[in-house]
Amino acid sequence: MSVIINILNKSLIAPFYKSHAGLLFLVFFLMFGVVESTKIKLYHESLIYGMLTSGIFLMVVLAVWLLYSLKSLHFLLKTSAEDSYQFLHHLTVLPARQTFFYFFIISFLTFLPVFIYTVFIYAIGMKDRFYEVLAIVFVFQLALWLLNAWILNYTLRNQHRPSRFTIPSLTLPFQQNLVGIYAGYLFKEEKSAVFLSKLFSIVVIYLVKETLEAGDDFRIVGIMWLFALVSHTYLINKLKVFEDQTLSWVRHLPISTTKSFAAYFILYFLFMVPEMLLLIGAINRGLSWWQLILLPLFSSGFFLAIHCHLFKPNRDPDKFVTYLFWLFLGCFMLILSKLIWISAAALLIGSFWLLRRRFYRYEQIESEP
Amino acid sequence: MLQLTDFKKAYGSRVILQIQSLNIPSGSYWIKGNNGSGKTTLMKIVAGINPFEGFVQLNSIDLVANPMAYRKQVSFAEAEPLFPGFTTGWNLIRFVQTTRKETDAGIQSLVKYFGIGNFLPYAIGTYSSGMTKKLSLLLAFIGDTKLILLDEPLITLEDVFLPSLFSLIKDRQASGTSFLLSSHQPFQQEQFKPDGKILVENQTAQFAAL
Repeated sequence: MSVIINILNKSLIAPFYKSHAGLLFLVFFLMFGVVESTKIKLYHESLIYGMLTSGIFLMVVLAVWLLYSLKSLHFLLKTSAEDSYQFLHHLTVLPARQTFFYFFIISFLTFLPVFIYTVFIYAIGMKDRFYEVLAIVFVFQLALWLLNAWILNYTLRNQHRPSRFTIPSLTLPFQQNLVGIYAGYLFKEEKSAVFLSKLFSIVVIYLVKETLEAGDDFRIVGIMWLFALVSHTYLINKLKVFEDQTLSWVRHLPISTTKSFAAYFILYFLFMVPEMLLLIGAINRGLSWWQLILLPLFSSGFFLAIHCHLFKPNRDPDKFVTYLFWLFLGCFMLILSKLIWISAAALLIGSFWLLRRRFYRYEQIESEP
Repeated sequence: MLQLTDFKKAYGSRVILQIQSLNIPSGSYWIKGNNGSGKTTLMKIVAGINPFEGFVQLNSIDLVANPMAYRKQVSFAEAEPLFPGFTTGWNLIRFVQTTRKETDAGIQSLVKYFGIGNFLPYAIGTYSSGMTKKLSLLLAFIGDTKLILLDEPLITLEDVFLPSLFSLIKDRQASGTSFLLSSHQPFQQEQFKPDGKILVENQTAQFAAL
């Protein structure tokens, strides 16, 4: 492997997979964890045949791939624009074709989990002669990699020019307290990530709302709510990094850990208010008012459990995915057992205990990513 | 005033500072030491930002046992402050004002002292390093704190502003506030005359002759 590819792999691809571990885990779980092991082959064959035979299903799949591709492009652009990534600018001394090739490889590597699944689509499609659909899939994926590579290459070589496209910023009022400052950061500095996370989350909740019928079990809503939460884990990671980099001085102010906890709680409660409002339409269809209020309490606990985990001193960043896995699995089992309220209470109490224990013992070590 | 007992700061097996006992009376002190000697680490610990082993007490209030009461007495300005770039200086001032229960009149007086009123309605990301430094110093002077820690207060500030800063320090000294200032260069006698010097070297801190 070329030295440059190796450097790009370590500096861009590895952080991408670490940052999106939650989302990838969620997709993996949806694909392989929701059906019995004996039926997995049949389940995936049905999915693939559905895609090969239904134009609408194919469009949905292509839209999901496009969304994933945009998310990875956003990450690569944002990360490479950070001060610590200025070394990438040295690549501009190489011919444009060569750097385009490197970025093509990088784009492909971020797409690798999808591509691996696509190999099975090709295998089944070739066997049953769905050549036209396979050609569409091939051209679409190739176009995504080429487009991402072109945008990355163009951005690297035109850093001196103002951006042609920017998402409008929302400057929030009330930034004179911790909740306002954190929310301001998300809406100003992480607007694309917020948009993509909310898009995914709202689509999931909308689909649940539309399919619910009177007499349905609340556990359906609970489990899909849990899936929607996982798409926000990237934002929690970013909030902690923001806190470490620009708000470490706040720790010398006389703000009690109870007040800090309350600030995080309010912030994370507000995170899921749009989804909660969306679910009002499903009241009396598998969902009661009490359960509707319980959901954002549960999500606050879930997000706080992740945020407070990040206060662990000398934390091994590689173990974050393992922690997320067990947290998700624990919540999943409790929801299945109709114990979502116990899960919410345990997460909130446990997070509060963790924060009180860790808040003043935490110190960001420079070597931690 | 400030007491450090059985104090230790280490990263793994690497000891940064180890102080058996250091008692700093009320007054103003110059913290001196070479690069990497642990001056900033010491100040961040005394400010309550970084964890440590042992005991740190300010006016007999223990940092670990009474974190809120301790923090009400101390404030800190970093050498190279980093603030959220998207928010305005006013927002941060109001935030600290609420936490430290400072009056509006007190804030207006500080803003006038530092002469940054025109910049405060704008996002901090648009400030120069000197403006950011002034904002950081202003935040450290908010509230009725008993100890103000200023890490390298002279860097990035224009010379014409220094008399105003030292005049503010003298005012606060007169009302009973103590100061710990770190600086590589000595202070000019006519501007600031510390009561003592604390030398940070060889992984410890001790009083030294001025």
